[in-house]
Amino acid sequence: MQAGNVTLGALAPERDRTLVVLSRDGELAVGLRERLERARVVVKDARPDESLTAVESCQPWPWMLVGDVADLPPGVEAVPVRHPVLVLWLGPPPCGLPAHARSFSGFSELADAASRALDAEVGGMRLATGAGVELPGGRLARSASLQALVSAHPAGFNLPLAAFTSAARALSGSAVRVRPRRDSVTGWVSLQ
Amino acid sequence: MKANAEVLLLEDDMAKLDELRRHFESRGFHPLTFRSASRAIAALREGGPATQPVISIVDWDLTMAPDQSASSSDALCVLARDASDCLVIVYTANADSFRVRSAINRAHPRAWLHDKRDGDASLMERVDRMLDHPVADLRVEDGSFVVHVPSQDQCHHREAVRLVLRHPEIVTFHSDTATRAVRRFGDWLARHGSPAAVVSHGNRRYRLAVSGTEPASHPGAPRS
Repeated sequence: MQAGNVTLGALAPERDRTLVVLSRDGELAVGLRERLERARVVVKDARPDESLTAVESCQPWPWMLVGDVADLPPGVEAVPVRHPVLVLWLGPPPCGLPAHARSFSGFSELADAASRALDAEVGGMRLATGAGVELPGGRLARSASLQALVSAHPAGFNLPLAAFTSAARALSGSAVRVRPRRDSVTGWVSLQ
Repeated sequence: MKANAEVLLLEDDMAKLDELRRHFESRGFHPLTFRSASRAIAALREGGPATQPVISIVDWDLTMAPDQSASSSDALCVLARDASDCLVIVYTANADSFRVRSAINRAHPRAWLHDKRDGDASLMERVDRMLDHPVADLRVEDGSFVVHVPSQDQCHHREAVRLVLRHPEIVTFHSDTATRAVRRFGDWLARHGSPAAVVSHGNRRYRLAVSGTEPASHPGAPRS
């Protein structure tokens, strides 16, 4: 019996918090998987030719995009410039990444940054296990844009404020005092 | 559903497969045993209530499999896509190789790795640690039900077993029947005043949350 149409699990649809790693050999993904608490993030290890499928398999979008390739595979750039995706790059970032992308010269620094993003806490909010944000009092907010803002805090995203509508909605009526706001100096949207 | 929960065992060595089967039977599970990935894939794809394993134990190195038309990687891909609610442990003698780890987790991003060189007993110990791990005032018994320890009341549904075994992770359920069972389990927990509660993450995704502290990691995680 043939296995038939078998698709890599890394390219299967995923609704939990997802970190997509774009690399040629997988070493970066293996290292990150060992460093990060797996109940809190799913690491998808993609090769350049699989990148777009891997990114698009994350619903609604990847929580974080990490890579070490010199050129961004075609189509991938559209996602982090449209949605709040944290972007960490090992080595010089390729053209096409948004301005909020951060680059690192070593793996340890990059892994520390990814770990800090998972552990971030803002105004009593922190990332919930699996996906979403735990608000003070224990209520779960599923907003992916709020999840991104909490992880990026105190930095933010070079995106329109409209990209954070679900975050503002999740926070309205809550005891949390911060809201997604455009920084008057940088022009980026962050929790303030 | 009161049938004992299934566990899928994929191992090309008949003696080892038999040992695993006996171990899970002794824990009350219903083992589905396969020596070839192709057979395991066929069983998973046929579906039905008898092939919805809560746990899968997969040998990465299937060189002695009688049918080589599919690999352990293929079986993991099918598990990741079609049985994402199943907890998967893959064991290999090459766990140190980043290429092997990469291949395993590309096939199944949530799979746990176990080093074969630690011996067969260590795999059984790890499985037992996972099965015996209490979640708040709950524990799995005989592979088929969840016990509320203070009252000794039992909840007989494999989806309840699945949620306890996978705690603290989110589990995606694949049918309305399963999600109804999960909600009934949530009501059962509330009636018993358990500190554990079922939390919905939308789109048929649920997890057990325990008020107070949550564990830092799953009990199936390798010991550091």
